[in-house]
Order: sequence, then structure tokens, then C-alpha cells
Amino acid sequence: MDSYKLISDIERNHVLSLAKKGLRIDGRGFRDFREISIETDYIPKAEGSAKVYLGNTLVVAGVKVSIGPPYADTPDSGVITVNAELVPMASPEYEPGPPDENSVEVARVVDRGIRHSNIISKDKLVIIPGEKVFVLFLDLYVLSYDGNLYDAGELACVKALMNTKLPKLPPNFAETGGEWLTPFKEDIEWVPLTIEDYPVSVTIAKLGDTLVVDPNEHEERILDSRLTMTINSKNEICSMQKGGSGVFTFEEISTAIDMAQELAPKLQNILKEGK
Amino acid sequence: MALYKYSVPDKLINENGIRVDGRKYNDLRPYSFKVGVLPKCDGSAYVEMGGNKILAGVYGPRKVQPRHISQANLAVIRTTYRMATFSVDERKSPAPSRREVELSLVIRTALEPAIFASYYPKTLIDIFIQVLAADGGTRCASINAASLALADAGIAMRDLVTAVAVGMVGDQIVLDLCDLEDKEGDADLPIAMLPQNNEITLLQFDGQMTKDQFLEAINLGMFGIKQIYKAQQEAIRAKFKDISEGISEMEGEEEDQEEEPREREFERENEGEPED
Amino acid sequence: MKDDIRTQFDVGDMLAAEVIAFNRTRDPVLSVRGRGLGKLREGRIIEILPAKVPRLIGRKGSMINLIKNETNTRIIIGQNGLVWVSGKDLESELLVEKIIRKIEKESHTSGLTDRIKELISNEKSR
Repeated sequence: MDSYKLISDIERNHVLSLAKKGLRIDGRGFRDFREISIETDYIPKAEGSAKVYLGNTLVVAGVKVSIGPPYADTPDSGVITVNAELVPMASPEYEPGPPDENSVEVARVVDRGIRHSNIISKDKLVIIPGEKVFVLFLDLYVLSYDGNLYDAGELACVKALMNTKLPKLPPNFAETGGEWLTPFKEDIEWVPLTIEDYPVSVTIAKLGDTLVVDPNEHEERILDSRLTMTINSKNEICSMQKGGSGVFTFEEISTAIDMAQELAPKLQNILKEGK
Repeated sequence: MALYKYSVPDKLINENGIRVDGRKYNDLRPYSFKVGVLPKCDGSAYVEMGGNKILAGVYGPRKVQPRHISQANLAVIRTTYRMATFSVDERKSPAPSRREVELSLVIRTALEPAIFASYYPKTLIDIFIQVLAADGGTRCASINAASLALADAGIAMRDLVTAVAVGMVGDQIVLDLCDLEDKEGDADLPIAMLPQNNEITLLQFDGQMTKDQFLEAINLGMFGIKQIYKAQQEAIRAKFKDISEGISEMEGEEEDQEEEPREREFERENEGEPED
Repeated sequence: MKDDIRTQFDVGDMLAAEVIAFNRTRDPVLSVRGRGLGKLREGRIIEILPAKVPRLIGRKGSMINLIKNETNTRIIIGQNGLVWVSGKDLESELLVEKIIRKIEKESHTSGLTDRIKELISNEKSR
């Protein structure tokens, strides 16, 4: 988060001097994520949903399924659109109003993390090529901001997709013109969305010369720069975003990638736990 | 485009007085309240009523932004009610609708009489309401959540504000409308009150009723409100009880009395100076 | 000569200041003249709810003096909830933070002073 809130030099120096001694203000190690808890199928009227706590950061993702035309430039592909709202109650620094550059960044970073993994084959969302596809609206709400919306947001969005269900289409739907006749809710048969990958996001923050994972709000406000990357089940890097007004050296990027690849499997296991 | 629709039964209430969700005319839906759920907010509450899932967060008293809305002798109270895109059957656009703008105002109207705004001049009290799941009666559930969040924030209030929606199906007045009754019923009457003195802070009505029916509906609303009020008070107590019980467990003693929540007034005993 | 505050203080400095004038029509006036006031250099800041400040100070300063003496730290409590702590080492500052969080959480309960004393002696014997 770019500073809306001014951080005093004392507070900044405190975090940096702790880092030099191998410590963080909340007692974690440099490679420790905060406590994660996930609740799935949390929103009754959504076709898929998840609520995620990452420390005190709280996000809720919901998927609403619709049937509509594909994008003109990708007629053989279903549509997934990701939107993020940083709700004003999430932080004393947030103000009511339309999405600002920070919420747009979160949405787009999460979107790219999903897009470039193989989590969903968008061609499997096609009903009638060029005319009718499944359209998935994936909306992420940040309800409490305590740092690292990227990793929390990615977990919530992926988990929401993992329990998303699609309506089973009537037989010969495509052949008979693809008119969706809006059935009664109790008459719909639901089919789970096929998930083929479990991308996770790992964010590394640079505090002075130290790299730490999963920055909390305090750390995020004083960091020089951060690196968010998404890693898929094959431990490949699917996307990366550098933020903050500082710099990274080549070695630091290499170390950050190591850290992310070391931690990604743990997050992937958390995703696969439960349902 | 809506994926599905709901089937509407011929009658929303049967000959035995049972409603579509199995309730009698004066039954509230199941509810639960939890206070102090968002650590960043000065006060917060999470409320479930029927299928409604609503979060309320309060910041305040805080600095007024933009400065020109500041009032010399009172706190400015701002209420923002928003529904999540996935809270309803057909995805709602994230941009605020006119309904959300009106409900923000209506909810503020319900809460303002309770707040001692003159205690906090030149400040802003921000009340944020986020509906995560909607199931009929969201404005009333939001009012219940918001007054808990205000109390949690320690804002001085005359009383909690408690609300419920009363309606009519066929000729039967019913308490706490569910989604279907809200959409298909014959009347919708949200009421909010300061329960201790039966002071009504919000009253809206759509439908067709005789005066007798209307007054009966208000009475039924008051009956529901008294029950919800008890639950709200219990939720506030629970926050302190958890902590006290945690301590007693550690010390192995028994709690000999229930801890009363502290007087929520702006008091300054034990005034100390900044020390070395 | 015009007093330019920028010659003394810079953006990002943390100050201990006193409100010397306030009325309902104007913003408050702060002063850093006085013992213990002015720019704070080392140490750290802990934020608590302003409503908890009286409990942290204690009757006639009993609680805060207990903490300062037992942990050998310097502490300044702002009525706005910002608390400055400076100790000889990291451990004592972290202990003070732990104590303050406990007071904040349990401020409404009885027997708190005894539990704080117990916490301090437990930590010291480590």
C-alpha cells in the first residue's frame, strides 16, 4: 500500500533495526506466513465462495455464474473477470469511493495469477463457440487490511473457484439455439467446475536489506519494495509484480524466488485441505 | 442474466398459520450477533439474521474529511451501506445503486437519535455496512449490526437501536419478513426503535393497510424488537465475559459475578500528565 | 524573526507535545516546551485505544510507575493513545509491549495489577 499514512522515523527505524537482528515486530521468522484460516462455500447465493484470514487480513471472494456472449477477440473462450473492492471499513486509511489504483492493482495481480496458471481451461467454459459461454464474475472484497492483500486475495479467489459449481445444461442445449430458459432453482443440477491447478501467491517484502515473506500492515508501510509472484503446482512462476518505490538487486530476486518456491507447496496444501 | 428463479407458492401462509419457511406469524428467524470482529475498526459487529450475513464497522470519532462538512458543535455521522456483488441471486454491479444510497440515509436516520453527537464536536463518526449475503430485511439487520458496532466503539449512546421488518401475507400480519415474503407479500414495514423507552427512530411502509392493521403491525414489531434487543445486549456482554472467563480459567477460580460492561460514557478519571 | 518549525523538526519526526490551548472554534495549539517534551529519538511507539489510557496510567500513576520501575524503561503516554517506550535493550521494550497489550485487553477486570506483577516476574525469571 503506498503511504496514505505517514510513518514516523522512530517506527520505521524500529522495524529495520529488528530486521537486522533477525526479528520481526510480530515475532515471526523471515519465512513464516501468518496464521491462515479458510472457510469455503461461505456465501449462500454465490455459486462459489471462500472467506480467508491471513493474520488479521480478512478477505471474502465470491463467484457468480452467468451465461452470455464471449469477448469478441476470444470467441472460443469462456470469460472470467476479477474485481476487487477495498471496503472502507477495512482500514482507517480507506475512504468511500470508486476503486483507486491500489484496489485495481490487487484485482489485476490476482487476475493474472489465475489467468496464467492452468487452473481452469477456458475453452471448457464454451457452450456455443462464438455465441454463448459461461461468464464467471469473481469478486474479491477486502474487509480488513493488515497487509498482503495479494496472497490473501489469491487464496480466496482460487478457493472460491475450487468450490464453484456450474448449472448442468439441458440436453441438446447448443443444438436447440442455446436459449437459457431460467429454470427454478430447485430444478437445476449443479456440476463442479473442473480445477486443474492450484496457483498460490507469495509476496516478499524488502525491509532495508532484509527479505521477509507475508508483510503485515506495519511492514508494508515501511518497505522499500515488494515482489509478488504466483507459483503453480509444478512450481513454475506464472506471474510476478514488483511494487514499492525501492529497488531489487539480481541476487535479491533470485533469493525471493527461492523463498516463494519453498513456501508455495505449503500454501497449496492448505488450499487442498477441506474441500 | 439470472441463472434461476424461485417458485412462488399460491399462498404464503397456509390454513394452519404456517409460513413458507415453517414459522408462525410471530416467530423471528434464527439470528446470531458477534461484537468486535474487525481488529482495525474502532468498533465492529457481525450479524446473521435468516440468510442475511452483514458486517458493520465504525471509525470514530475521527478527523473530518473533507473539512467543509465539519460541524462546530456536533459530530458528523456518515453511513455507507453497500451490498456485495454476490450477495444476491443475480450478480449486482459493484457501483453503488440508488437503493444503496437511499438505505444509507435511512439507516443513518434510524441511528442518529441514539448517538450523543454533541459530545464529539468537529469530528466524524463513520459507519460502514457491508452486506455479504442478503435474505430480506437487510436494512433492519444492518441497523442491528451498526448499533452494536457503535457500542463496541465506545460511542456514547442513549440506547441501542433495534430493528425488524413486519409485513402482511394474505390478511395476516407477520414478523421478520424472509426474502420471499419481502418480494411477494402484501406489505413491508421496517421499524427501528430505542427499545428501553419504545421510541421509534425509523418507520417506512409499502402496502395497503387499515389503521388497525398498521397499529397491530407496529405492536408486533415491538414484540420482535424486544427479543432482538436482549440478544444484542448479550453479544456486548459476551465480549467482556470471554476475556474474564479466560482469566479465571488461568487462575483456577470461579467467576462469582457477571462482569457488567463499563458505562459507555466519555469520562476522564485518573487524568495523568505525560511523564518522563 | 519568524519561527520556522522546519528548522527544528522534519516530516516523520515523532514529538511529545502538550495541548496548551483549545476551544471549540479553533484547532488545538501544541507546545513542546517543557520537561520531557520535544522530539523523540530512539525507542518505539505502541498504539492503544485512547479510552484505555487512564487504565494504563493507573490511580495516581500507580500502574505506569510499576511498569517503568520493574522494566527499567522510559515511557511517555499520550492521551491520544500513542505510547513511547525506550529501554536499555530490546527485551525490556518487548516486555513493556506485552504488558500494555494485556492491560488493553483486560482493562475492565479486577485483579489486573496482581496479574501484571505476575507477568513481570515470570518474564524476568526466564
